[in-house]
Formats: sequence, C-alpha cells, structure tokens
Amino acid sequence: MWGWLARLDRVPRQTIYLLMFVACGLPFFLDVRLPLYVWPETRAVFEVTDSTPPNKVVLICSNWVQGSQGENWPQYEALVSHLMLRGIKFVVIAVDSDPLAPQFSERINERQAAKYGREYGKDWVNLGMVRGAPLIMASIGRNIKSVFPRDYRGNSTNDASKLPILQGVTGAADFQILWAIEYQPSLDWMVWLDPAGRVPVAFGSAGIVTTSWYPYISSGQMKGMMAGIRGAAEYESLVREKYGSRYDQEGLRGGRLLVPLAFGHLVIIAFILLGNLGMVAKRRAGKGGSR
Amino acid sequence: MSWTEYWSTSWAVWLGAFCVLAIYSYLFRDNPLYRLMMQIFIGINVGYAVVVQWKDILYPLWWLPMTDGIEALLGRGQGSPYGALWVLVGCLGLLWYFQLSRRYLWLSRIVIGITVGIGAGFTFKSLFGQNIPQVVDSFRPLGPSAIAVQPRPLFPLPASSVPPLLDEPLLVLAAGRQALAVETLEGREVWRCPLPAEPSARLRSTPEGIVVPCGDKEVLINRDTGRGTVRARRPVPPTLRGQTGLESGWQPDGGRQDVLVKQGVVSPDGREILASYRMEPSGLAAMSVSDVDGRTLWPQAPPVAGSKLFDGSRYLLVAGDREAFCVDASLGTVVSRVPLPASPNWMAVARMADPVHDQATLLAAFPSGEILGFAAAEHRVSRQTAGALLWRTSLRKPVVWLGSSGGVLFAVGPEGGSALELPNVPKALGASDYWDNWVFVVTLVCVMSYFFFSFRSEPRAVTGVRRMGRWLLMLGFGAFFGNTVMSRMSFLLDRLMFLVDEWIKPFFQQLLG
Amino acid sequence: MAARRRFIAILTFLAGLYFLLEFVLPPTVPGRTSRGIYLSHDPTVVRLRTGAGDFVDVAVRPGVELSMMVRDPTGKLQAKVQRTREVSVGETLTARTRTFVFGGLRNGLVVDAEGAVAALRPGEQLYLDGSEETPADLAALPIGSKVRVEVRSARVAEVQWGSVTLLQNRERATIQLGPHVAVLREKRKGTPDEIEPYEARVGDTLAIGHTTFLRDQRDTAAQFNTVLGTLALGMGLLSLAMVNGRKLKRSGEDRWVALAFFAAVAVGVCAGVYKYYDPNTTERAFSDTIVFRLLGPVGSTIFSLLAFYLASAAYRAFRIRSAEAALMMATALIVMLGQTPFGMYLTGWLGEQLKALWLPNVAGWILRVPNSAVVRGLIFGTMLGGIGTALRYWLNLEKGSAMGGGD
Repeated sequence: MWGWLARLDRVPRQTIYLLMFVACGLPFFLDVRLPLYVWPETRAVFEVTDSTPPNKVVLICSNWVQGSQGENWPQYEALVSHLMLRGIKFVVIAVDSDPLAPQFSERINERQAAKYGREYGKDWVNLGMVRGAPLIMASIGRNIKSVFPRDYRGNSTNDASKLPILQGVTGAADFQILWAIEYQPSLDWMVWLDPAGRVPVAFGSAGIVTTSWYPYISSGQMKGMMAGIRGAAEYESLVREKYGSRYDQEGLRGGRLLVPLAFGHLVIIAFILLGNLGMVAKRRAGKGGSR
Repeated sequence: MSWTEYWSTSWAVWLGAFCVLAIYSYLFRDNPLYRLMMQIFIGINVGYAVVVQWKDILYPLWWLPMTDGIEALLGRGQGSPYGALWVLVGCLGLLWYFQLSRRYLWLSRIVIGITVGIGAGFTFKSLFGQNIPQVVDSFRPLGPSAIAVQPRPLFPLPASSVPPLLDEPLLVLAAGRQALAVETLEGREVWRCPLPAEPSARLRSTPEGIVVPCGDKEVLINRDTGRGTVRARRPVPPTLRGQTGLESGWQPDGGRQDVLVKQGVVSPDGREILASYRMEPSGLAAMSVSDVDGRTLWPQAPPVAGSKLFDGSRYLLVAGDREAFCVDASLGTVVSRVPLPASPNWMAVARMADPVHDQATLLAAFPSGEILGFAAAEHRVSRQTAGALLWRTSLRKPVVWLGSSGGVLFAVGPEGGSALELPNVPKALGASDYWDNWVFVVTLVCVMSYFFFSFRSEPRAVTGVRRMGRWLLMLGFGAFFGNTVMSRMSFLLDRLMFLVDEWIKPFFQQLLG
Repeated sequence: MAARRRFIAILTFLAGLYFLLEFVLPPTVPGRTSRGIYLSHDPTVVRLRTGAGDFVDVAVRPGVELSMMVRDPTGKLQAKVQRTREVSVGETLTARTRTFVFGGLRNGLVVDAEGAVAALRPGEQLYLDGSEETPADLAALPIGSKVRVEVRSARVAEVQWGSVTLLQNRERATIQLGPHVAVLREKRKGTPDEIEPYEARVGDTLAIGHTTFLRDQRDTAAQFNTVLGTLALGMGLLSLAMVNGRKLKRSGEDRWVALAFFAAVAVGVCAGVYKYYDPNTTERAFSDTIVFRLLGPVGSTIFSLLAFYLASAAYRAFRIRSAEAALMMATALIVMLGQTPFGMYLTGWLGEQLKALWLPNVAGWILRVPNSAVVRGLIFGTMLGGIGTALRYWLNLEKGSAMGGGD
C-alpha cells in the first residue's frame, strides 16, 4: 500500500492545475451556502462608515485597476453599495495610480447609483487622479479643492450648482473616514493626510498584504480593513444584517466569490496534506524495500 | 436574440476569453501563442503608458509651465517667468538616457543621485511618522496596575464666584469686583474689567458682548477690548437664543437648577429644536419650545430622580444627592447611572481631543474640590461599561463650574481653579488581554533579538531567546502564506467568474435558446 | 573621477536636504518670530491699477479674496486664491472686494437686500455668483441673487502691509506685517495653522515671522520630483526596442514575435492618444476596447497564473521535514481555513462557550497577537535599516554600482 501512496509524492503539475481549475470553477454552477463569520477589523470600519453624519463625507482613494480587480472590485463595490444605500456622501479620488483607476471606480459608482437613485454631484463626486504622494496627501488634508480644481467630468469643484456635495468640504475635518482601496495602499495616508490623526484610516487591500496591517490596527493608527474577498463578503453581510431587504445584493461580488474561494483553499490544503502523505509513504516504502 | 445580434455584442467577450485561454495554455506547456500574447501585452502596455504619462504628467506639469514661462520672459502671456526654469529640469531629465551609453554613463548618475537624495529625504519623515506610534504601542501593560491614568494639571486659573463663560479662545471669569478674561491655551490674562458689585449669576454672551449680572445691575463688556458699560439688569427671556459660549444648554431662571433649556436637540422627526427640561414631582419632563403648542418630547418620562439638571451636549445630566443619570436628550433613554459621594456643584460631558479613542466622559465636581470622571456611555474601543469610574482627582478648593474643549478640562471655583489635560480613556483589560500582551511582548523581544543581536560567545539564555525568535518567525511566515493563498486564489476566481458568467453561460443560453 | 563623484555626492545631499529641513524646521524663521496674544490689527491695503487706469484700494478683510491665474495640475488656467503675504508689486491679480444679495435698482443705483445703496468704485464690477466671464447684466438680474464685486486683472501698484497688535508679557506690541511674513495660530496639539490676520480672534496665541520659504515650495518640490522621475519614461521603451530590434535580424519565430511587439507598441500609442478623445467617437471606442477587452483580461490573467504556481509550490515545498516546518504549516492551515466559511462550518458546532476555539477566532488571534508582534519586529528592523540606508545614500557613503562606486 505504501508503494501506491508513494506515488502521491510526485503528482505532475498539470494534474494539480486541472484540479484547481475544476474545484474553483465548479461552485460557480452550484448554489452552496456556508456560514460567514465577521472579523472585528471589518466590523469596526463598517461602524465608523455607517455612522457618518450628514455634514461629513467619506473619502475614498480608489487606485485599483484590472491587475488587482479580483479583490479590490468586490471591496469597492461593497463599500459603494453601502454608501449609496444609506445616502452617505462620498468623494472618490485616485493618487499616483494607473490613469485608468477613475474609469474603473466610476463604472461601479454609476451602476450602484442607478440602483438607489443617487445623483452625481449631490451624493458622490469623482475627482480623478493626481500625482505627487506623499506630499499631495497633506495638501488633500488641508484643502481638497485646491488639489482638484476640477472633477473627473470637468466641472469646477467650486461650482455650487453642479457639485453641491463639495460645498461644506474643505479638508481633513470634513472627512469621516479615509478608505484606501488598492493592491497595497500606502501607509503614508496615516502620516500625511491629517498629521493630528483625526481622520480614521481604513484599507481595502489584497489579502496578501493584510498580514502586515495588524500592528497598525492594534496601535490605533488604522481603524480596520477589508481583507481580500473575505472582507468584502463580510462587509456585504454587515450591511444586509442592518438594512435587510432594502439592500440589493444583485451583482455584488464578495458573497458570490467567497464559496469558490473556500473550495480553492481546500484544494491547496488537500495538496499540502497529500504531498506530506506521499513523502511519508515514500519513506516507508523505501525502508520496506531496503529491508 | 439572433446570432448576428449575439456576435455584435459578444465579440469582445470572445476576444477577452481567447486572451485568457491563450495565457492559460502556458500552464500546459510553453508555446508560441503564449509568447506572442506576452509580447503583444508588453508592447501595448508600453506604448500606452508612454502616451498617458506624457499627456497626464509631463504636458501639464512640465511642458505648459515651461512654455508659459518662456512666453512671460518674452513679455507675452500671463504665466510666471520663473516657469522657464523648467527647461533646466528637462535637461536634467535627459541625463537619464546616458544610461544607454558606456562612455557618458556618469552623467546619468547625477539624476540618479538627485532622485535617491529626494527619496532619502522623504524616508525620514515617513518612517518617523509611521513608526513612533508603533513604538508607543509596544509598551503594553502586563498586569493590572494600581496607578490609574489621571488628568494632568496644565496651568492655574483665576477665581470665579459664579459659573464663567467659555468662549474660545477666551475664558471670562468674575469674582469680587472684577471680571477677567484669560486665553485658553496657557491661561494668560488678556483683559480685566471692574464691576460695580459682586457678580450674582452665570455669565452669558450676547451679540453685543459679554453680560455679567451684578445684583440689580449688569455689565456689558466688549469681548475684544474688555471695556464695560453698566446698565440696569434686563430680564432674560426663557427661550434665550443665540447664546454662544454657553455650550448648548442653560438655566433660564438664574438660580433654579431644576430647569434647563437646550438648543440643537434632535426631535423625533429629525429637526433641530430648542427644548426645555423640568424636574417635576411626576418625573423628568421634556418639552419642545420651538413649537407653538409646547409638545412633549418623549413618549414617557425616564425613571430618574434628582434635583439638578445639567447640559451634557447630546445628553442631559440629572443629579441627586447620591447618584446621577445620563439621559439621551432626544430619546429620553437612560444611558448610564453613576453613584456619587455627594450632591455635585456642576456636571458636564467632555470629549477627548483624540477621536481614535473618543469617548464621552461624564464629569462631576463637588464642593470639596473633588472631580470624578465616568464613562458616560458604553464604549466599544475601550470596552468600558457605561458609568464606570475612570479617574478621580481633587483641586482641594471648591469648584463651581466645569467646562472642556479639545481634551482640556477647565475647573473653576471662588478660590481659583485649574486647567487639566484629560487622559485618554484607558482600555478595560481582562485576564485574556494580559495573556495576549505577554505573548505579544515576548514575541516581539524574541524576534528583535533574533535580528539585532549576535554575540561572538553567546550566553545560553540568548541562544534560547534567538531560537524562540526563529520559531515565532516561522509562525509569522505561516500566517503570511495563508493570506497569500487567499489573494492569489481571488485573482484566479476573478478570471473564472469572467469565463463562466460572461462567456460560457450567455453562450449556452444563446445556443439552447 | 574623484571630482565627478564629489559633484554627484553634493547634488544628492542637497536634494535630500530640502525635505529634511522642511520636516525639521518651523515654518517661520526662528529668532525673528514674535509670539503673543492677539488683540487687534490694522489691515493690509493693496492698491490696484485696472486696465482702464483707475486705482482701487482694497483693504484685506473677511470676504476679500485675491486670486491669480495659475496652471492647475491638469494644465488648465485656473484662478488660485493667493495669501496676502504672497502679493507683490507688479503682478496681475483679480480681487473680490465684497459679496452681497442683489436687492434691485433704485434711481439707477444698485441696492442690496436691506435696501442700502451698494456704491461701486471706478474699476469695480458686479458678477453673478457662480458665473464667471462677463459682468452681470443689471437689468436682467433677478432680485435676491448673490453677487460679487470684483476688480478683474489689475496690476498691483502698491501694498501697505499694516500691522498686528499682540500682548507680549502683559505689554502691547505692534508687529509690522510685510511680504512673506506669515501669521500662525497656535493650537493645543499639532502644528500651528497659517491664517490671515483678520481671521484671528482676541485671545488667540499667534506667532508672526518671516517664512522660511520651505513649506511654500512643497508643491513645487513634489512637482519637480514627479517630472524628473517621469522624464525617464522612454527608458523602458528604448531598452525593449533594442532587445526586439536584435531579434528582428534573426529568422524564424523570434522575428514574428518581435514584429508583433512593434505592432503592439503602435496600437498602444494609438490607444493612448485616442483615450483623450470625446466619448461616443470611434477613436475613443477603439481605445476603450484595447484597454478593457485586451489589456484588462490579459493583465489580470497573468496575475492569476500565480495561483497555479502557488498551488504546485505549496504541494512540493510544504513538507514536514522539521518541527519548525510543522509549526509553519499548522499556522498556514489554520489561517487558510479561518479565512473561509469552512472555518465556521468545521468549528461552529462548538457553541458560544468555546467561541475562542472557533477557527476564525484562532486564525484571528494568530494574526492579531503573535503575527502582529512578528510583523512589528520586522517593521522595526526595516525602519532602522531604512534610515541607515537612506543616510548612507544621502551622505554618499554607499558604494553601489549605480552611485558610481564601480568606477
């Protein structure tokens, strides 16, 4: 038997790839439901965002493009759908990103706005992209309108009739929370945006870099985060928990991708275990042979 | 949908799907199709990036200011002539391209040097700013401490026999036969103004100036110059409006402490109204003063008892001889209930300067000079329960009034007062927190000693600590690997979702009708 | 050689020095800064000469705004509000002298909403709030609209700087304002805010002094850094072109691949140029197709290949050969399971009392406590390393090949 099991020590890579493909692809065709546990890091940022008073805005730095859309798209859409549902005003910017970043965020904004009947300029504004981090972050904290004289659509940010949302908004004091969503958001946001640290910072980042955010969360420099697809799915479930059926989850990616993700993880775990089993079997078989 | 329609909308999806599968073909084995796709991808990316960088960065940030500057030098246009200096930056930038020459390679080092220098300059500020809070957070309590965090005295304040007026940046006090204004940053005197008699009631501010009631007279003081004019005392209307500096609530009838008027209270229908609260034999009653009919605000009176009402921003504070209640001013619910040693002279709610640890602190001052701080409501971050005693301090002289702003507490009485810095609300720690802190600190020490120390002849203890450090690093790497899997898997799922939802499913729907 | 190296070292040092000084030095010149409690002030008066030759004196008070046309980050000319201290004789400014609510015309004179006559001095004109270009047409102006009184594109003829009276050690002191003299309001925490003198309230603690210019030039410094870095944009293209140019000379598959590269560059350039065309044009549609249908899928697919490599690497490398490897694998398995709903599925039955043993909670504890400490240890290591490396490069102690050490 050991001899047969020892073959597990050398599974060809094509087999591994094929199994991964099938295991991750299959759940898309099935309806599997699994219980979701919400981590405190996600809950903390949901609560701060949800309690935005009418005189403040949520500032979102959306720097992601196609490269990291697998994780950032679900996160961004979960956040924006919450803001649109609640009618919380938000300002989207991009700093030092790929020039396409505003196009990606705006596509999602428009789709969610159509769902909840929100209006550009009144409920949200997309200010486009600037360069010059980290210094420009300090300028955004001091006066966002001087950094972005025009929005992504070419309206003047001082134009009260087209962009009423920006009327009471100047700098850090008017931001309820900063959301930085990209593969690896810059830690400089914690230092430069508001040197006094009054604006809570939240990251929506690729799961791979979340490991290094925990020390910043425990020191209070960061309020919390959405960790990969899991974070997005948790955020969606928090919104649904609070607002029930008013929340339209059609087309949201977090919850949809979570089950295939779980299966993908299982495949990897299974291969790690099988590899070890194969190694042990090979050793046993080798010993048996030499005896 | 006819096939023509299908193809006219779906050709792009097929193009995308073709690209995805062409790349994935590499997983089977290396092939020319994959190599071709890679070159096409790199080529398009590079061509696209060059144009976009020129259009988005160099053209507006370099070319336009430069041409404007040259125009201005020639006496045309309206830019700044200093813009012409951007020509020099252009020349400097061209030095990058000497990287491609062997002979003049050193020229490119000029621009590399400048870029590296700027990078180093940035590093200092960023690293300090990011990491000082990290160092501070590493000193964690490893066991319960007897010394609680206390308010820190900042500077003394002059005496005031009546509740003073906090109208930042001034604090106006009145005692004996004079009124005195100090600034609130360091407590230095700004002006003083003589009074005709002893002050008799709380100071208030009106659009014309600051009013100090002195028996049957009152003095109107110019806020900016400190010059006063004496006039006969005017009755204060019960719905005194537009009061700056009186927080948002006040006792309309001077001495009566069982009545309070508050502005900015949110009514059940979401409007901001002026509300009046009164302690009656049947309980605490709240009425809307803004409405003509004087509607009651709460469906039922909260179960509280006491004789004095104080303002606590969004709360209403009810104090009795032995306990006090913190009541939500809009909803009438009791948020917390605290025991008191005696009947307080004054109560207020302070907020911290630091919103990360923001928590409403309930303050109570007593004739003995003692000041107590409680958690006004339950707080998630610090896990303090509503009404928990946070700290206790004493001025050792009577206190008639408390006020706060930006994390600083002003406590004033007839024999003088003091400004104190309020401590951040400490975390309520349980046994598991101390256990976590031990694990944290031990791990940090082991990992750091693994990195930083190497002795020629290592003592046993150090070897042990360093080995422990290596073990813990492995634990960290394991966690790191777990998260890496999640990330990489997500990118794959995104592609699979594209193939399934946008390509396969619509195609089969079309095929099978 | 040595001279060249020294020259580069000095340039490197100077480039970093600005950012270090900007971080370390206060915003006003130490020793030449007066500090005290604000009592009163005498406003700055700017005398403007309009194109028609009229002189208008503008006292800088609340509601007054001086602005200048400058390039914004997108390259458009835009009115930018100037601080009073930045005004200099000879430059062209637009001044908003006041705003009011239009109350109609009485005997040909403009009156405000209270019925008071709003007299316009020669050179001043009325503009409707929100509209930019032409002066408001008085006859067509609706009553109740907000209007601004402005002096447009006038040259600064003279500036009387005015002064601020402070209380210093219980004595009044008058501090003269001047060009580049900044007024800072101190705060309890954090760096002081720069304000206009009229924004101060009696009792504010002010610091008044000549600026060090460092902070004012922050935006220019950032722009310099960005431009200098971006000017290297052709480097990637050039080196790729050289590699592929060599391949063109070869025969067979390589040549075709190289040809495809050059064709793709041409397509990429077109896509880039057409990106700035109006939506709904064919060119823009072409650009969007290339970006979203070709670059997008290919880019994210290349990224996703790593998932497969990771699976096969995990299979091959994660073998329990030592206790340390076992620890690493156990942690990885817990974190992987804890991150997905399977964690709850496997351990949720333990119930609320054993909540701490739920896999997501165990994974969370590992990440929050020991892993957090490990990462912090790494952060401290990299911080010290980073400062050390930055200092070495900055002071040119580094002898790497890029810095000329290889000569």
